[in-house]
Amino acid sequence: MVKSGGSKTSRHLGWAWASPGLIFLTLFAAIPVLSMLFMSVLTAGRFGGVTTPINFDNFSRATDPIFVKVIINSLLIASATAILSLLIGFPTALFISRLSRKWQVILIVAIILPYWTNFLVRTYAWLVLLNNEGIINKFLRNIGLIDKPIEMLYTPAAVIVGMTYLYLPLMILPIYAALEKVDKNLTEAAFDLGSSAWKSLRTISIPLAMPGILIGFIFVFVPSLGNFVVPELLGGGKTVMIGNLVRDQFLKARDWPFGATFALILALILVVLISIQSYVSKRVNVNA
Amino acid sequence: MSENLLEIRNLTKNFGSVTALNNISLDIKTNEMFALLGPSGCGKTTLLRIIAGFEYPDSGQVLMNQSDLLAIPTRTRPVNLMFQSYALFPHMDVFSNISYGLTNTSLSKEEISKQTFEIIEKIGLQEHVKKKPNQLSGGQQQRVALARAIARKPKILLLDEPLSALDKKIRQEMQVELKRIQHEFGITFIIVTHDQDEAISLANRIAVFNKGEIKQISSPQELYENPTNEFVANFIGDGNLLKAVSTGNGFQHPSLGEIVVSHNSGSGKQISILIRPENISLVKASDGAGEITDSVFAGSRKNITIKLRTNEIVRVYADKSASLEIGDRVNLSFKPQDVRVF
Repeated sequence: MVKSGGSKTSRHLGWAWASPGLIFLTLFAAIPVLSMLFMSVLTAGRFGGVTTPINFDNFSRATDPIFVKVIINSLLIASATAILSLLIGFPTALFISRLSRKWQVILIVAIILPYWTNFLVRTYAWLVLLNNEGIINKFLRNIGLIDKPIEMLYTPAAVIVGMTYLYLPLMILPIYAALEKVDKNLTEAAFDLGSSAWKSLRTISIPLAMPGILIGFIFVFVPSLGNFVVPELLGGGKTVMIGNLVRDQFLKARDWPFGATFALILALILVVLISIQSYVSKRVNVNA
Repeated sequence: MSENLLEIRNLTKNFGSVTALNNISLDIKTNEMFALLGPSGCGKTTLLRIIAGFEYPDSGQVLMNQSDLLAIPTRTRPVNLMFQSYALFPHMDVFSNISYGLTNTSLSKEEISKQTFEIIEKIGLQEHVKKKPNQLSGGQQQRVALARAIARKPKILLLDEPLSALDKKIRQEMQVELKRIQHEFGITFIIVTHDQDEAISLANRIAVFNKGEIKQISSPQELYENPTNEFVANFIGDGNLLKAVSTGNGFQHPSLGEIVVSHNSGSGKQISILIRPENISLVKASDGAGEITDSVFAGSRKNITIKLRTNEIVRVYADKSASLEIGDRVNLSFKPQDVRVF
């Protein structure tokens, strides 16, 4: 009796400790998601807002090829951003992880610092760089490599480059953390046993850093998929992503239920992805 | 056991202002079990890492069969290392760990598999082929590390503190096992250790290191019986080092009196003398040179601690039936030939 009473108290105490977190999650995650779900099955009010009756038309509207194309396009751009970030981020993280402690700290701080400046400012910087009269085109023209400016701005590539630049630290940091944890003796053992640098990377460092790589991928993919500012500024409205759809439905078309439907689709895609990530990294961890 | 496999000539290595190796020279013979023994930070690990190819000396040579070993890149050196932490690849099973070195050769898949299974059988890991390192005990992990390191049939196997992580019973088992494998595969072993028991029980010859220098190279028995300097005398085995003054034909110790021993220290100098605990016998006497301050039963013998009038502490191994009690005054007797003078 005493025992079960004791465990009951500690269970109550557990809930008490968890309550700030639970209240926060209820207010800022559960309620918004549920209200979005609810809103998506309502009818648009004339000047925004939502009214009855409840209907499921929005979900069939969302399967219109135009919108499907936007969703696929968004997935492609977000994937390309995450892949490009990985291609730049992994070697960077690997390089940093092999430096002395002092230089590791210096470079990690240098990578985080720009992340603290406003992201609009950083995106505008790319406008200046990529523009037809921008630094890159001017430079290429001055050295005589081109005589007509290359159209770089307002292309999907510009969106991908811009978002890669924005989210690169989110790729580098988890990979660096994972690589840093890999025992240096393991790579030495691989060399001792006759491995080339490339083989030791492929068979030792990359598999052991896989959880960090997956987290980095998700960290970049998630905000890229929902982003609407970069497509607008660097894509010039020609590159439409899901985030743009959501915003346009809420703010321009005043069709809140339809906006909520796209927000829900976005959330669903992310839930699926994060489930895959957690499944895969659990398997990697069991192996390790 | 005659020709030199490895010749180390005037090797020096500094890390910043710290001298890890100071002009080391050393020969290691084919099929030898050679130990590099010394306290931590004495340079033995640096030497091991130079032979393995993870460090490069500032000056000096390492020759294997008369040709320059340092010119061979790490990955193709006929030398493998068994890491102190084993450094097993945690995401690979036992088979993949052991065959890893062979996958870096031009051998066919079938041949790699055949050779790997041969080693697995010789080392007795048949039941664990598909297990991951974290599913193995410490002793099993070490067997995997050993199998992985000898799979490429190196000429030299370097072992970094091979027994340090094992408990006593498995240590003894592994000692026997290491010797068997060394014999069976015909590989020269170089063992790095700070543990004299490990070195003495495994090695044919031992190089005692201190502060980047070799203090003595000889067989374990020779190191124990005839240390050539005070450091070795102190480091190897239990010993009593006492301060004395040399006389023409021996030395004078304030508590033990004058002892006749041949030495070449000259007369009237401060010297150190070494007497091993098993070479001293005790005789009770009311005006004895020392007093028993401690007596510990140690199975086959009694470990007795004596405080001399000079406040020096002397340890003696006495017969377990000896009627010696704490507080007794005793005289110490020993044969002159058991005394070493430095």
